[in-house]
Amino acid sequence: MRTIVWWALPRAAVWLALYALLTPLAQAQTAPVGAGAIWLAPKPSETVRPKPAPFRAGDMLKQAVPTNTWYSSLMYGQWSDVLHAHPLTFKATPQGMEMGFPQAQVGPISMLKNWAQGSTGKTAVAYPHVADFTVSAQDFQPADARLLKAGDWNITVEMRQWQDHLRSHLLHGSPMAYFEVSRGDARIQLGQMVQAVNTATQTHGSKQVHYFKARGALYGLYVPVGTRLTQGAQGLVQLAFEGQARYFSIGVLPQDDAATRRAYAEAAFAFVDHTEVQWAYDEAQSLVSTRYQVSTRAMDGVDAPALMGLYLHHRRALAANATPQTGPVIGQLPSVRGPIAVVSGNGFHTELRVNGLMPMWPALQAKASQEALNELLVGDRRRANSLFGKMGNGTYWTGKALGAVAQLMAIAEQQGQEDSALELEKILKQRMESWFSGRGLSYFAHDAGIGSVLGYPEEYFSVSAMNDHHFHYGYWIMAAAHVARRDPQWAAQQRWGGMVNLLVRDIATSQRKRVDFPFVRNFDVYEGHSWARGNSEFFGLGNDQESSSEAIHAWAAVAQWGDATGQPELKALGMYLYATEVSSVLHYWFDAHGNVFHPDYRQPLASMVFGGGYGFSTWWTEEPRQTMGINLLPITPASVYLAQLPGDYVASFASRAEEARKAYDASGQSDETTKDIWQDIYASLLALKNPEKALQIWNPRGSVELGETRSHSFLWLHALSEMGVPDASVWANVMTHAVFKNPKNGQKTYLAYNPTGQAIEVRFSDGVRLSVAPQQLLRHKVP
Amino acid sequence: MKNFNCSFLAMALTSPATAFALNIDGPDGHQFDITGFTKHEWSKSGVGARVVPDSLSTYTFDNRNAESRPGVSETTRAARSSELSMQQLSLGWSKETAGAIGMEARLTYRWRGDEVFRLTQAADVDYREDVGSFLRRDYTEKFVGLKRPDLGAIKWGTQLSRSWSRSDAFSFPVGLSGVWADSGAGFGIFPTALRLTSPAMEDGSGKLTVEVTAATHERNTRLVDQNRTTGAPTTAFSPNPSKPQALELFLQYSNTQNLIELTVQSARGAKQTAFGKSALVGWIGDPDTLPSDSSRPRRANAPSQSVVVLQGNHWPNPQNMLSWGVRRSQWSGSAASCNYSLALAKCLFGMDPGFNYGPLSTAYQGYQATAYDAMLGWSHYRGLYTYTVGGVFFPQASSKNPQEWGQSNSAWHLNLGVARKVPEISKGLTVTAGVARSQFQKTGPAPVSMPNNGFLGVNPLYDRVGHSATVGLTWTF
Repeated sequence: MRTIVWWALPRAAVWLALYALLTPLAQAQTAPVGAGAIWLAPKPSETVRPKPAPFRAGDMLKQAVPTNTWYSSLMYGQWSDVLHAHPLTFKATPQGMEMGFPQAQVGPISMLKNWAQGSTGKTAVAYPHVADFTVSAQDFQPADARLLKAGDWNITVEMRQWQDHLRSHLLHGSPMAYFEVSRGDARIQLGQMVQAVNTATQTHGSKQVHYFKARGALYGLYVPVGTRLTQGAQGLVQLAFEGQARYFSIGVLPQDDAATRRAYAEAAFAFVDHTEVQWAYDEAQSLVSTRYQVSTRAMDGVDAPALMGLYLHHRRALAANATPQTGPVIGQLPSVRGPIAVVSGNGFHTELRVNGLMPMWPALQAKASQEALNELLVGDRRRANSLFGKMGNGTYWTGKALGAVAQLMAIAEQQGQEDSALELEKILKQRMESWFSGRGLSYFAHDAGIGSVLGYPEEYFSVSAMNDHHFHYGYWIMAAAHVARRDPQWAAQQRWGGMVNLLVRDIATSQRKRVDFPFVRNFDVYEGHSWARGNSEFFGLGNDQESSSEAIHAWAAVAQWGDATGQPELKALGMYLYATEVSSVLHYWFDAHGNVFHPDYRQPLASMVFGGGYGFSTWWTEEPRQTMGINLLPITPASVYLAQLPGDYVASFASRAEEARKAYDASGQSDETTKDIWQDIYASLLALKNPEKALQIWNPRGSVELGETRSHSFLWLHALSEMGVPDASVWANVMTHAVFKNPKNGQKTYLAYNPTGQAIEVRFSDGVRLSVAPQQLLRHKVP
Repeated sequence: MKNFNCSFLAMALTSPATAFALNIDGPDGHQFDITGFTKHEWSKSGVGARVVPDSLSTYTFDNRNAESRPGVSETTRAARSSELSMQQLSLGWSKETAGAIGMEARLTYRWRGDEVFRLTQAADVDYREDVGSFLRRDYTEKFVGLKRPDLGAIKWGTQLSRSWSRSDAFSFPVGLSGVWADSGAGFGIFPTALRLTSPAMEDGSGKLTVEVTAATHERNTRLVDQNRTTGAPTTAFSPNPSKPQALELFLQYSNTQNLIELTVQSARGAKQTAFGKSALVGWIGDPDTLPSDSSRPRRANAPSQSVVVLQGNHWPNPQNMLSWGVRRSQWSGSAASCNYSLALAKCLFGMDPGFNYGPLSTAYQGYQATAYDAMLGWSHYRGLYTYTVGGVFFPQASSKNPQEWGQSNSAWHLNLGVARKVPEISKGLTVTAGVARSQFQKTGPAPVSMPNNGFLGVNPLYDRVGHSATVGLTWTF
C-alpha cells in the first residue's frame, strides 16, 4: 500500500499541474454568448477543419469566405472548376479564362455521378463546359486565378503576375462577359468549333464588333475602336489595343438579327461593376418584393444600360408597374435552368405573394381523432429521446430529431397535453443547451479563417467541405423558434438566443462584407435558391443542392425565429428567402410550369440540381422513393408551398414512386430499405391536394421517416381532412396565418396565430377579420 | 442530406443472417414475418486432413489427441472434398401499441447437413432432446420480449449469445465466421436466458447500448445423460450434473464511421469447450473427492470459462470496410468427472475428461489456460461484387499444464474471397468463392482456442499447412 502511495503521488502532482496549466487555456478558447459559449476555433484535438480558401485578393481577403456559391471553387484552388454562370460557363485555367455556351446532353445518371449503379435511361441532364474562347494576356503568364471582388451576383476574377493582371468580370445569368488587361495585348484562343462569321470589322460607336459561331451559337466580340485583331494559326486571335483602352467583352446572342446585334453592341462596354439585391417583406400585404440592381462602369465613357438575363422565376414574378423597368426581351438563351430572357437595363423588381407561415396547426376537432392522436402522443413522447443519434450525432441528425420533437411539442401543446409538451420542451432545451454550452463533446466553434460556425462532430462534410449548413441548422433554428414561443426568456439573447442567432447568421447574414460570416452564405440571390456544397467543385458540374425542401424549411425557420423572438429583420429575411426559394424550387426541381426540363428528361422531378445539370438520384442511394421524397421533407406547416404543385402531378407522385421502386427492386438493386420507406411523407404530400385519399394510403404502422413521428403524420392528415386544402387566393396581414378550403363543400378554415403579448386583429384579404389573443392559435371556420 | 452515408452502424442486435423478410400485416396491428436463409458450400482441400481412428484415441471424444498421438501410418486422410448445407427459418410476431410498448416473439430453427441441398439433416445446435414436442426442439431462438423506447427491452427464452452472433456478424463479411466466431471460450446459444437491453444512450461522439444477459439451462440434458452411459454404466457420479450459468455483458458503441462492441461472457458449471457456437449445457459435475481414493483432495472447482471480445468495423468510406477483433479466452480447466471406481483409462475412454486436463501424475488436476486471438479483415465493395481479405491469428496460450493441449502451438488462417450478388436471379442470392491457407507453428495439438484438431481442415498433429478453396451460394429471404 505504501508503495502504491509513493508511486502515485508524484504522478498526481504532475496531472494536477497540467490541469491547472491547461484549464485556463481551455477556458480562454471560448467566448460567452449569452448563457452559452462559442469556441473561438475548433478544439485542438479536432482533425477535421474547413479546407482553406486562399485564392482571394484585395478586399476579399478581409472578408469571410463566400462559400456555397456558384463561384466558390475559385477560392479553393489555383485555378477554378467550371463556373456555371448561366447561360455561359467559365473556367480559370493556366491557359487563361475559358468561356463557353454549353448545350444539353441527356443520359444516365452516371453522367453526373459516375459511381451510380444501375445507371440506365435518361435520368440526367448535363450542360458540360466547352471552351469556345480562352482569354489570356499576351505579355504575362499569371500565377493563379483569384476572387478579387464579389457583388451579389457578379464577380471579378483576377489572374495576376506581379503588377500585371487580367481581370474577368462575370455575371450570373448574363449573356456577356467583360475582360480587362493591365498591360500589353490580349489573346483569345478560339475553340475547335469556333469560326469567325465575318472578318470584316463592324463598328458600332466606340466599338469594333466581330462575330463568331460555335455549334450554332452566335458570339459577339466587342473591342475598342482601333484595336487590331489578327487571327493566327490554330485559332489564336491577338488583340492589339490602341492606347490604354485594354478591355473588351464577349457575348452570346440569342439570335442573329440587326436589333439584337445593336442591343448587344450598345451594352458591350457597360461593364457590370456591382450587383445588389434588396428585399422587403410587406407583412400587411403578405408580399415579398425584391429589387435587383446593377451598377455599370462605362468603359468608353458612354452611358448605356447593361445586359441582364432573367431566369424564369424572375419573369414569373416581375412586378407590374414597378421601377426600375427593364427594356423589352431581346431574346431567349437556352440554359440548364430553362430559357433565360436577355433584357437591357440596370435592374428589375419582383413580387411574390406568401400565403402565410404558421408555426403549427391547431388541435383536431373530431373527438375520436383527438383521442387517437393523444394515444399516439404517449408513444411518441416515449420515443422522443430515442429519435436522437439513430443515424448520427452531428448537426444534421441531431437537428432532424430536434425538429421532430419540436413538432411533437407543438402538437401536444395544441392538444392540451401540457405535461407532454413540457417534457418535450425539456428534451429540446437539454439537447440544444448541451451543444450551446460549449462544454460537451458536441459543440459549435467559429472558424475565423473561413468565417463560419461549425458544428462538431461534422456530418456529411459539413466542416471539411462546408456542406449543408442551411439544411442542418434549419432544424435547430426551427426547434428553437418553437421553444421561444413557449419560453421567451430561454430564447433571449442573453440566454440561449444568442447561440441561435449565430446559427442564423452562419447560413444567412443579411450584411455584406463582414469578417465573421459571408452574405447569405447558402443562398444564390440571383438563381433564387440555395447551394449545398461549400467549395462548389464537382467534376465540372459546379455547385449543387439536393434537398430543396430542407432549404426551404431552413428559411421558414429563420422567419419563425425572427417572429417568435421579436427580430423583424430576421423575419423579413426569412420570408424573402422562403418565398424566393419556393418560387425557384417549383421551377427548377419540380418544373411545375413545364418550361425547364429537357423534353427527353421524363423523370418526375430533378432531385439533384447542379450548376451544370440535374438528375434523378441522391447522394446516398438510387432508390426512387427516397430520391423523390428527399425534396418533400421535412413536413411542417411551411410545407404548404407543395400545394402549388399541379393536382394531377401530386396525385400521381406516390404511384410513380411506387412503380419506380418496383422497377428498382426488379433490377436487383437494393439499399436494404423497406418497400414503404417514407410512406408517411408521400401521404403528407397527397393530403395537400386530397386528404381523404391520403388517409387511405397512409399506413399508421408503416415506416416512419427518421425526422417524422406518427403523431405528426396523423395530425397533418386529419387536420387537412378537417380543414381542406390550402387556399392560395386569400392572405392576411400577419405572417402567421393560413387559409384552407374544403374541396367538397367550399367551407373555409382560417388560422391565425398571435406571437405577441397583445391582442391583434388579423385581417384576411377576403374580408374575414379575427381578433386573436396573445399567444393564441385561432381556428375559424366560415361556411 | 448530402453525400454518402455510412450511418447504418447502429446495427440491429439480431441474427446477422436475415435480409429480406416476408412481412405480413395482421389485423389490429399484429405483424408477422418469415425470414431465413439457405446456404450451400463446396470445399476442396489441398490434402485431406489426417484422421485418427477412435480406436487409437485415448478416449472416445479425444478431439485433440492430447494424450495420444498415433503414428502417421496409422492414420487415414479424409476426403479432399467436403460439402455443407445450412438452412434457417425464423418466424416472428410483433405488435406495438400506440403507447410505444412493443411485444415480440420469435422462433428460429437452423439445420445443418454435410451435403449440399440436403435441407433438414440435423439441427445445427444440439442442447436438448431433438424429439418430442414441437417446442422442445433445438431452436436457435425461441423467445418473447417486451420493449419500450424510453426504458429498453427485456427478452426471455432461447437466444443467441452476443459472443457468437456478433462475432459471426463481424467475421462473416470477410469469410471468417467459421474460424473467428466458432472458436474461443464463448457459448453460442443460451437455451434459457433473460436479456435486458438499455435504451440507446448518446453523447457527442456516438451512441451506446448496454445489455446484460443471464443464462442457464436444465441440469439434466440428453447430452449429459448420454455420455454418462457411454463409457461405463455407473451410478457413482458425484456430485450431480452441474447447473450451467452464464452472464454476458454486451456494449455496443457506434458513430458515423465506427461500430465497436465489447462482449464479456462468463460461464460456470457448463461443459467446457472452445467451440464458440456451442450451447450452454451442463456437465456431469466435478467430484469433491475421488470415490475410490477419498484421501486425494479436490483438484478443481466446477468448470468455468470466460471470453472477452472487442471487435468492430470501421468505414473509411462506403466502398471499404475494415473488420477487426481481439479476444481473450480463459478456461478454468476441470478435473475429470467420471466414475473413478473404474480404471482411469476406462473412465477417460468413456468420457470427455474436462478441458485442459492434466496428466495422471498431477492427480487429474485441471489447469487454467488463457488465450488471446485476433481477427483482421478488409472488404471492398464495388457494385455487385465484394472483394475481401481477412485473417485470424491464434497465438500460443498461457497455461502451466505440463501436458501439451495445444497451448504452445499457434496458427493463422488467411482467406481471400469474392462475393457477387445475383439479382438477375433473385435479390437475396449471393454466390461466393474463396481460397484459404492455414498454417500452424508446429505439429501438435491445435491451439487451445480451436475446438478440435480438424478445425481448420488440416490436422496439426501431422500437417502444418493446409489450403482450401470454397465456392458457395446463399439465398436469404
